[in-house]
Amino acid sequence: MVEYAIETFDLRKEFDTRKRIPTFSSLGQAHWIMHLIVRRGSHGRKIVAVNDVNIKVRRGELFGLLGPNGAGKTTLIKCLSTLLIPDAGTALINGYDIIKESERVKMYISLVGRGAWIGFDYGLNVEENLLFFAKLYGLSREEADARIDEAIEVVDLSDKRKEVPGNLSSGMRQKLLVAKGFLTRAPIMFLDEPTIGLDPASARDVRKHIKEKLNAELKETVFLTTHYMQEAESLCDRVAIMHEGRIIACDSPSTLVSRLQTKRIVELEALNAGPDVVSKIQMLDLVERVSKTEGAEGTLTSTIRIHTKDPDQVMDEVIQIMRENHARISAISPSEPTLEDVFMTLTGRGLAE
Amino acid sequence: MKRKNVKFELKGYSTSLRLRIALENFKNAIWGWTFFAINFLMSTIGMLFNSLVFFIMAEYVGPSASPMLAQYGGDYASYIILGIVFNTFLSVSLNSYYQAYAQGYWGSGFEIYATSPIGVSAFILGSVLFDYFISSIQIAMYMAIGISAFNIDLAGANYLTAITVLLLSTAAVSGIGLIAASTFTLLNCKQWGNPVTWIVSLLVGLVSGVYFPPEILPTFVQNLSMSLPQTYAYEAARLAMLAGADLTHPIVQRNVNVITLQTLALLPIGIILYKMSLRKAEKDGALTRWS
Repeated sequence: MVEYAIETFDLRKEFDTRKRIPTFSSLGQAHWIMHLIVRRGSHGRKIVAVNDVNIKVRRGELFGLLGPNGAGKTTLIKCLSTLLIPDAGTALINGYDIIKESERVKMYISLVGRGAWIGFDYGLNVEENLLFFAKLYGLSREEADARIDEAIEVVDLSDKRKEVPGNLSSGMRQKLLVAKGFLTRAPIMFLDEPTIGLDPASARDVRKHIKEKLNAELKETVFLTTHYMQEAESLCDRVAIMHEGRIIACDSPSTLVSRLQTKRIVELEALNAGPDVVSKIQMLDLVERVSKTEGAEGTLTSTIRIHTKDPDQVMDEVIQIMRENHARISAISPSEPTLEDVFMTLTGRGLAE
Repeated sequence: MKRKNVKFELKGYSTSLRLRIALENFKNAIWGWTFFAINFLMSTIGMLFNSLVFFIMAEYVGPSASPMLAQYGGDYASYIILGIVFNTFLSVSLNSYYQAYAQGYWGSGFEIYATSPIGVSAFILGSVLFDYFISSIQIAMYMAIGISAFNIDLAGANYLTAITVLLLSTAAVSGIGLIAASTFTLLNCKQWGNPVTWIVSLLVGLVSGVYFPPEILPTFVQNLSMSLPQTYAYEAARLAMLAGADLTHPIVQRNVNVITLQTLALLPIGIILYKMSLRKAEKDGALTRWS
């Protein structure tokens, strides 16, 4: 048996930003034909969405791909799940080449994408949609029924079994999408931000199912993208951090975080701290980095995290800045580094930026 | 790179499963059609109104056209009803592949098929089968109205010849339909319109003999009609249905030969371009809208 469930070799995908051919109806027939002949506006540039990516995911591993919007996570997952042909390099999924043996690859993977309407038939109810999906993978009726019951229970859609997708909220449709992915029991599962749009309780149940059922019990290899750090930290055996198409770090969450242990982080709960406060703190000599997370909507509270080598000396100056800017500190505490801090150290920006 | 060592294998790679899934999609499409009762009612009423238009045309235009229809028995009502029937069926071959492609893309149907071992072609096949099913209902209605209201005499019809011609021309026109479907990606014709079906539909309506014999048109327009499989199909099928001609009839034989040649040329081109368009969609990320 091959050691790695997923193995990429200098995988690269570029997108051309040059103007596309306009649509037939948008220009009118005569102008469209003229446009094809003259081909105006074809100048542009290339965007490298996935830049020579090399990763190896072991069989049975729960692997996370962490990065902000636009980092290239979805493009990478689309390449690995054979929806997109890469421009250079390749990857092996369960030992099969994604370019030359894409049909074989599809037999070993299951994909949960994003988008509240992906692949649902508006005329079929929740149960029938899932049954149809099970048929796509050749499951017998008995197998399908058992797995549908289980999947529906995990995502808490039991009372919506007979509803058509049009009657479900967008969060419920996302749950249906996740349930669909749980049916096939393929050995390799790709999940693109599976908990996005879910309420906290459902997100927790889905994470639990991924970790305990799919990964621990069924030994499935799980490859998930997320920009929720807690999700990556709590779920994944290893995490790759992706930034502007490149993998800039790849290790277990604890190892990644331990790299920052030499640095000290102070966390302040602040009231009325505007952007000026953050920029003034950032300018202090001993401060390496500052991040600010806004509190609940409608409040003036925020959390400020200050990375420094000498917290004692820095805090006097920080308190002075807060006073001068009419901001108040409600709590000060030392903090352990998180994956967000790792990401900031590596890229100079936060995941939410 | 290390080679594989298969441990797990999902079912789902066989041709029979692909066909079963295409039939499932066909079944879902029928359910979707009836799901919206108003749409179902409107499309049925639409068919009845179309029949009424042809009835009026036959009543008022028919007598003056009769001398030109001698080889078909001289009855315009029979001529136009059979033209409509055959054209309804061949229009599916012309339009449905593109429509199914567009529906798969815009309706996100491709997403679910593209990542499964079944592939998107099962979705397209199922949708096209559904269109043939709907057109069969329309044809049955037109024929029922034709026989009851227009008194079409089909006592001497050679059904075997007519069906042979129809199947052969379905293959030829499907080639054009697949070329049209390929424009969705190859020429970015994504907004429910494409130049291939647009041009062919215009020509078919005008010169192929759906509503009137091509012989009444100027010579250069008649030459244009000779490029269309529909022209040969309608002439041969009418001769079979109205004059009882079999496959040895000289005109039928000539037309069948031409349609066969057109099939041999158009179908492979259509399949190649269709595959190229899927490949380009996979390259550009245009198979799915999820991003």
